[in-house]
Amino acid sequence: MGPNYVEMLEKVFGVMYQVGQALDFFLKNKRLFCASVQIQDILALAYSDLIRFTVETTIHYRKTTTICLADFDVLFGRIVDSFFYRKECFTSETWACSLMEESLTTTSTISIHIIRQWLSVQDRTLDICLSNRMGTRTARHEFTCEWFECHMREFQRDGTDVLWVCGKPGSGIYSTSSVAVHLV
Amino acid sequence: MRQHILILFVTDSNGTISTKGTNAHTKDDVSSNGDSSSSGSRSPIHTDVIVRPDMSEATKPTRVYESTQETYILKDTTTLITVRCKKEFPSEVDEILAGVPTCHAFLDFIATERLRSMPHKGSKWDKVLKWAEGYSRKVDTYSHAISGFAPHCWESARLVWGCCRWLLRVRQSLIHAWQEMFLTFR
Repeated sequence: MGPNYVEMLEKVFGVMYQVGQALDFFLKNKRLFCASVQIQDILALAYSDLIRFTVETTIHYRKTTTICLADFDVLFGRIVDSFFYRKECFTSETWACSLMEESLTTTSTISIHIIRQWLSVQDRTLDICLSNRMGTRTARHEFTCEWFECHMREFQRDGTDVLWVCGKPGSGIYSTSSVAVHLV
Repeated sequence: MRQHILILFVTDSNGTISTKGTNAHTKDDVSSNGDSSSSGSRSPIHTDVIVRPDMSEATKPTRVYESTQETYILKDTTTLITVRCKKEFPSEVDEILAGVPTCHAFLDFIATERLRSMPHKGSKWDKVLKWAEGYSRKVDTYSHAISGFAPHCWESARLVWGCCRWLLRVRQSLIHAWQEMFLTFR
């Protein structure tokens, strides 16, 4: 097993970290948690997926003697996708509630689904790349991009609203952005 | 709350700037899971919806909602998963289900683990511990937020914390096993 075990934990807790960010998204709309029964059901179902993911991974890695990370997406991808699908449903529901509050739905011509479809990424490949949460992204090596952490912390502390980072192509902008996402 | 904006740019040899999109779009691609609005058993409790009156024209009224029903979806899921845990971990089930009663207990465990293993800053193990800590805090906050209409969420939270601790502990037990093995065969 050896180093694979830490890699497995990195993968599992990496997904949990993303799930945690999605929970933050839910919590930003806390005011609407009780706006409808549908929203409450979605929130409960999202929590159910979260528990299922945590317990299923625990059960799986307890039983297995050899850790194969290639199986991870096959085994748990469906549960994780299900959780993020709840997030999409929650977004649609909260949009609908907000529109209702603004009394914009009186004409009944506004379809949340159509608006969201129009706003979404049109290119299928790009859409798959952006929404892929399960690990096709290359893992960052240990101790890399650590230099950026102090800049990010400073940015979070001071009063500025924009942190401008520029660099040549291939200089690691994408890796830096992934670090920034983890540090927020 | 202040919104942070991070802009990342790539400059080419001519100094032309192009943006790097890092916005995480998602898609409705899981049609098989279209049961988001499916309702579990629910019981009515109170049905008042309070609308805050307009205090002034300048202040936009904010509608305040209150919990109207309890949902039992979580209870059903937790019960099913607990039964599964009892079947899968007959000897460790109590430790998983009741070993970590609060988020603080889990954070204490992480702190102890940090002291014990002293992970190098930026190492994989350090990252895993950070993520575990963040995840447990978010589960706690989320449980607080939904406890009004999902009263069984704390059982679910305990299950999550217990499983996370178990996952992190296995590493320790493996290390001890390796140590013993290496001592035996040295």
